[in-house]
Amino acid sequence: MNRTVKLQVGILAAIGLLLLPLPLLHGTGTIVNFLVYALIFLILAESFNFLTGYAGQISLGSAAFFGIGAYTLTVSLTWYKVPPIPSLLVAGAVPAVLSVLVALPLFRLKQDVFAIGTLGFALILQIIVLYQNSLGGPSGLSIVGVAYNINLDYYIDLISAVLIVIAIVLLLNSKFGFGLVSIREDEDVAESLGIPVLKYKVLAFALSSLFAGIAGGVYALYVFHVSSDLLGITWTVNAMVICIIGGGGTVMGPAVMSLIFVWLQNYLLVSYPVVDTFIYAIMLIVVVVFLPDGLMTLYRLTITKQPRKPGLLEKEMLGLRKDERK
Amino acid sequence: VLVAQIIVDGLMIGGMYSLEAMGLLIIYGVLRVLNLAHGEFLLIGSYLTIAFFSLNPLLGPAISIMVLLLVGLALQRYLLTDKITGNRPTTPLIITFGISITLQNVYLELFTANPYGISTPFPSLNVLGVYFPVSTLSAFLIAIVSLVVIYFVLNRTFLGMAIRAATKSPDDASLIGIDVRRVKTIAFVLGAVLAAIAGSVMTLQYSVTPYTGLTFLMIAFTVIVLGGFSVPGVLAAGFVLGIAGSVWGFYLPMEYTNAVVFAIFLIVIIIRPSGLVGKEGK
Repeated sequence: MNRTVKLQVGILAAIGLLLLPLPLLHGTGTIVNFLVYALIFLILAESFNFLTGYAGQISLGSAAFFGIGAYTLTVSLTWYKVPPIPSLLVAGAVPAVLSVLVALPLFRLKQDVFAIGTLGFALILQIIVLYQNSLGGPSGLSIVGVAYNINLDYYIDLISAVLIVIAIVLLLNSKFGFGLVSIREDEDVAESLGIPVLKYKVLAFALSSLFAGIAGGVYALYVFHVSSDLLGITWTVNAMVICIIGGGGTVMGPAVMSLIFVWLQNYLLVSYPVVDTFIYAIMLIVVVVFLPDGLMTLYRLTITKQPRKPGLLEKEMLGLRKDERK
Repeated sequence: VLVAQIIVDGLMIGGMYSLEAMGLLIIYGVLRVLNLAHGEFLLIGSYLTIAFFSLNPLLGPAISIMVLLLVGLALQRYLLTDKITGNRPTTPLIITFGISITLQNVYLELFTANPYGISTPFPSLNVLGVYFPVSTLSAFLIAIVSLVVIYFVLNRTFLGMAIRAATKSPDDASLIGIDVRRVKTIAFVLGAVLAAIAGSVMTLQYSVTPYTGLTFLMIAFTVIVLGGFSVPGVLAAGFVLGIAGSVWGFYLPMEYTNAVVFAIFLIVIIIRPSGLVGKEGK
């Protein structure tokens, strides 16, 4: 582990420790609620980011794994009386296992097949859950038999978020992480370098689903009610918007953006309750076109003043493109 | 007679499935862009057709063809350019997904989530005990005529040759003097126009909601995968899926259509990733 990684992990841990006593000092108010919500989005966005920003595989089914996590937690807490923290682990494990089953066929074909396959998976899962009477059908399930405690949620949420982000930082600085980035840059080259492309992609998808499932579990703990909406496309859009606008392929971008996003959502829900997804979709297109690196481009240009260096491969591709245009 | 009825129904729907998939395939083939907004493009045709149907059945399709022609042109010229999509393969997916969600929400605002359809009743023809509803029959005929025209354009005209060349290898195509950029624009517009026709035709058979778009995107893509990403394959696969659809329609409630289509999609990928017609693809 090199120095920068140690420093990053230390900073993350320090932020976590600093925020931990917040409910005790400040009481349970708007700020705690805001943070609980933002941290859920943070975990979900980082999970999306891990797969899309780093491994370069775009999944349109984040909501499916988020929703499965939420349902799993509710079921294990209410039906099987498992305590919250083991339930949360189960809520992460179930989507991870499912994602491997989905990934194995989908990764056999091109990337677009994976994108549309995960989209289809989420659609189907939502329908199945919607018509499953044992899962409450359209009205969903509520957590019963457990006392609601927002401070506990806050602690669980904060600790999972910090642990997940630290895990992502460590993973990215391992051989596995470098492998993922090389797959993103050029799959064929990665393959020829001896990187087990399929294995790494499946593993990245499983980890991403694990994180998404935990986000869903924390969400269920916070809201105390789950319905099939959680598997709907809105949550996928949310994850995408935070990740892409914040800056895919960076850990900090989505983290900062999740705070902005929750603030924005609180504002939008008050003023324009119906059109929020519409606005996010438009924002997504605008950012992808004009700021492909998201808000992190602004950070790079203004604070560290380093322009984005195109990789060797990218340079070559750009060069080729120029020739083609003549 | 029951078996004959199921097969006839399946063939009728199959023509429509092929038409839906063809637009998506042409765009995918030439531009290497999977247009995730294809389903919502179809819905432009559907909603316009329904809106103008009582005035004149052909007015809606005509308007929607023009609208999608312009939309396709604008998208290809300003959003899906090489400069924007060149850096990352995920960018076109995010853009078309964004468009899909945007349009879906526009429909929700304009038409609510209620299903809309053509309320005019159609008579049915009865041939040897097999029913041919006039609506489905005309949908089938329009689909077949459009498919024949497309097939002819792709195989017998210079433009079609250019499109096919650009599909196989853009670099070599530009080397022999084909203006690949123009071909791309034409292909995208062609795909969008096909979506308009398919969307209009669809209304003869189904009622639509803003969420129908995603279902039809899934169906169209399943047809493409089943057809092994080739034009003749897609023609055949549409009918196969159509017949399969009318068979399961007999046993399962409508709500599970999506699930069955997706199951077929997964099975095809696992068993025959090259599609039904296999090597014919490339």
